[in-house]
This record gives sequence, C-alpha cells and structure tokens, in this order.
Amino acid sequence: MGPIETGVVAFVLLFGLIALRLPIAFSMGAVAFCGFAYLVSPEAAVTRFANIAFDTISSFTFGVLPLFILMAHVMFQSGMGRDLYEVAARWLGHQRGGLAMATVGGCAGFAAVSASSVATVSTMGLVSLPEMRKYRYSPALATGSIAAGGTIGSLIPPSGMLIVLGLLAELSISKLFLAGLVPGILEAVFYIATIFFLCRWRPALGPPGKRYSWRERFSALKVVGEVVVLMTLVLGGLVGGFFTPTEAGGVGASGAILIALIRRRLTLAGFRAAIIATLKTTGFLYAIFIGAFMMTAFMTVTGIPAAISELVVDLNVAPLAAVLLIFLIYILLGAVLDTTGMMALTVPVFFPVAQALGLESIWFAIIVIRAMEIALITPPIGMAVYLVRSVAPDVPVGTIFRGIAPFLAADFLLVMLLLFVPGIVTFLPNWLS
Amino acid sequence: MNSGSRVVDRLVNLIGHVGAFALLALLALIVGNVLVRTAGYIIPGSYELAELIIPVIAGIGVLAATLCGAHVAIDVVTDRFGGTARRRIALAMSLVAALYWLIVTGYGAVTALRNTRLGEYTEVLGIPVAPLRWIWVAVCCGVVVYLAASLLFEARGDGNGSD
Repeated sequence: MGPIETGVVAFVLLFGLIALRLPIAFSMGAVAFCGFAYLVSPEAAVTRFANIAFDTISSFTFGVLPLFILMAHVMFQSGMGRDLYEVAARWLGHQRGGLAMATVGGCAGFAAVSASSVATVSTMGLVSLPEMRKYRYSPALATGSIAAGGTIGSLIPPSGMLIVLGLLAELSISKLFLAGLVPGILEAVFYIATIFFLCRWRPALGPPGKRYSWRERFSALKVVGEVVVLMTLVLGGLVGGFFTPTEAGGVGASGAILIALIRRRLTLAGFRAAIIATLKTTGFLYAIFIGAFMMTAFMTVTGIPAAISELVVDLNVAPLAAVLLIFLIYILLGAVLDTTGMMALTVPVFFPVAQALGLESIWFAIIVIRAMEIALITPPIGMAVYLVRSVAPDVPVGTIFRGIAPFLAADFLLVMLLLFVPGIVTFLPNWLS
Repeated sequence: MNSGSRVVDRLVNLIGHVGAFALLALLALIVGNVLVRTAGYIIPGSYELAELIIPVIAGIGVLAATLCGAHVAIDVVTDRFGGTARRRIALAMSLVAALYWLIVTGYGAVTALRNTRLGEYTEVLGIPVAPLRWIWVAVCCGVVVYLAASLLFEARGDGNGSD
C-alpha cells in the first residue's frame, strides 16, 4: 500500500475507533503511531512520537491554555454570568423580546470572560431562562436565544476556541483575537436584530419585562466595571505587544481571582472547584494536542494534505467554492464531533489546502470557527441544543430547533458577509500589526 | 459510591492540590515577571522556570482528565448497541487506550533515561530537565495503571459499557 492509500485506510480506522467510543485524543495518537510505523519504521515512530508528547507539554506557548481556562473557571465560580445578564436585562429587558436580547448580550459578555461556549450556554441557561419564563416568553424563542447566543463566544476574545485553533494551526493568537472581535460583535448585533424583528412580527413571542430607571441601569454597570477593565488590560496588553499570550492569560487569571476576592464572591470550595475543572479541561486539551500533532506528523508522511492541495489547484476550483465545501463538511462533522475534535482532525488537512488556494489563514480560521459553532446548533444533533435541554428538560428538542431557525438565518447572512467582505475579519489585525 | 470511585476521588483531590500549587506558582511567576518588566527589570530565566512548571500542570491535567473520564469520546454509535456488545466494545477500546499509553510511557521512559545520562539542562539557569521528563513518565504510568484497572473492571462487567 502506498502512502496515500495508507492515509485513507488510517482515516477510516480513525473514524471507526472514534465511533466505538475511544477518546478522540487516543484514537488520533494510536492511528498516527501505527501508520507512521508502517510507512517509515517503528523506530522512527517511537523517537518522533516520544518527542512530540514531551515537547507539547513543555512548551511555554502552550502555557496559555491553563491560564485562560483558570480565568474562565474563576469567573464562572464567582457568578459573573449572572451579573452580566443582570446588566443587559436592566438596559434591554423592557423592550419586546428584550430579555432574549439581554440573553444574547449576556452571552456575548460572558463568553468574553469564560472563553467557552459550553460554559456560556450552561450559565446563561440557568440565569436567563427562569426570567424569560416569568414573563411568558415563547419557549422556542427563549431556548433558541440561549443556544444561539452561546455560540457567539467562539469569536469574542479571549475565546478558548481561537486559542486552541491558533495553537493547532500555528497562527498568532493575538491576531486571531483581533480578527474575531468585529465578527463576534456583528454576530451579537445580528442576533439582537433577529429578536427585534421577530417580536415586531409576533409580539406574543417576547412580552416586555420590567422597566428600570436610568439610575438603576447605570448603577448596574458598576458590577461589570472591573471586568471591563480586566478584559481591556488583557487584550490591550496582548495587542499592544506588552504581553505574550501566555502572560496575558496569567494577568487575566490573576485579575479574575483578585476581583472575585475583593467582591467576596469566591469561596475556598469554589476556588478548589475552579482548579480541578481547570486541570481536567487542560488535561483533555493537552491529550488532544498530543494526538493531533502525532496525526499531523503522520499526515505529512502520507502526503495527503499536499495531494489534496495539488488536486484543488489543478482542478482550478474557485477558492470561495472550496471554502463553501469545507464549511459544509464542518456542518456535517458537527453532527458527530465536538469542536475540539473537529479542529484536531481537520486542521492538518484543511489549512494546507487553504494556503495552497492563497487564502488568508486568519480569515480562513474565523470562517472555520464560525462553521464549527453553527454545527453546534444545526439538526439533527446540535450539541448546544442538548446543553439547553439539560437546563430546560420540559422543552422538546423540536421546539428548541424551531427557536434556533431564525438565528441560523442570521448566521447564514453573517457568513455570507464574511465570505464576500473578508476585510471585516482582516482589517483590525492587519491595521494594528 | 464504591471503593474504586472513592480511591479515584481521593487521587483527584490529591493531584488537585499539587496542580493548584503549580498553577499558583506559574501565575506568581508570570505576573511577577510582567510587573518587574514594567519597572524596567527582568527576572533572569523566567521563561525557563515557567517551562519547568507547565509540564507539571499539563501532566497532572492529563491524569486528572483520565481519572475523571473527561477525555472527549463520542457515544452516539455505541449507545445503539445492546449491553453485551457495548461491554465488549468498551473492553476492546480500553485495551487500545492502554496500549497507546503504554507506548507513550515506554518510549517516554527511554527518552528520559537517555537524556538523564546525557545531562540535559536549561540554557540560562542550568536547571536539570530530566526530573520533568520523569514526572511525565510517572503521569503516563498513572494513566496506564488506571486504564489497565478499567480494563479489568470492564472484563468483570463493572465498567461503563455494561450499564
């Protein structure tokens, strides 16, 4: 069997093992090791892979992971999600559909500090759903806004997904943060506009909530003031070149602990829970990285990425058509894989193709991130939908998907905008660098 | 809660303390370095020190994730099988996972041994790197032992696959 045939067989095996419930990280590592040993030699596989594992865990660059994750878990434990929702609800809640808009706003804000879509959906679900139920919101709109709102977190810095993708594809994390900022804000605006028009069309979907005085609205802002300062410091330091991403993570995590302690919102038990959760998340991500880098080494030996790139160039495929095809592949993969798994499996194949097509890597990365997040809310699986279901067990899955449909339409519009006007993504990183 | 899960809980708790210490040390080092740099000074070898702490956090993280079953696995396919088939699949997959980590551990140990003999030190501070390699090997051993124990439980029909 030649290298390419071996690679194809390895991919079939890989998906087989993943389907049989072997963790994705271990599946990639095991298949890559066997394939490398077959194509090169068992000795070469052993030497190469032992080094990959240790080099990955001892890299200073990868230190960014535990630090940003710790910041997220401390914010989560100190109840920051509730505060952000409260602020958004005071400003928007009196409008028709205002609480759903506040949910989207709260999701965008919380995503900026939690770095995780899953944490955002779980937290916002617990905080905003009872409030929307109190004001008799349509269950579809209420749950749909939570599920869709949770996906904004992937783009708003410091997004965990941007960090993971940056490390996997060897892209600048600060450039990715800058590139995700405008699309992330646009996403929130598109979702809020969707709710606005839906509730204009059918007012019963989202009745107005309590109206707060201007004094109450401004006083709520104090609660999030420190967080805004912290995020500005972290992102400003990163973009301004004062910190490396790892240092930005360290400053962010320390600041989050300090804020939580000053506010007396972090108990010892909460801190312990944050540490254990950080270690677990860090651990599974490191295992994924080790597996993914082994897979990348194996893929290089098979020559598959180069062959696909050559094929795409030879066929003269329009870059936009290739991107759309990749987008569709992500939506399909999202039915069975989570975002980290999707990234780990596809980055070694798709990023070389994008480079061969002359696409800007940062722009392509943002499109890929958006595709993976849309996959999280797309039928038939839609993992975010099941997260929402865990906080709203009485709402049928079909109702949640119905609620998500208008947001998917907004997503479609945004993706088209990003595809045809790439400057939305690339302007900020290019300008500031 | 059975005795097995109590042992795992205690172990997670124990390594959690070590992990917490390492995380806080890394935070102190990084923030200290940023503050000192702002004042126009540098902490010599601070990046090297960080690179010595990060593997401890990563290793403990990998072990904690394995002990808590936090590694991402897809169950939409296996959920459709009956109890016996699921148990057999879980058994086979535990075996594959244990073998994979056995290879990582074995050759991690060979590399650690070789680098210990050669004398591997950090460039600026001259701190030996070998202990870290052995910490990584110890973590990998922990993962292998846990996976082997899971394999035994699966074989007896007490594992996840049987429920």
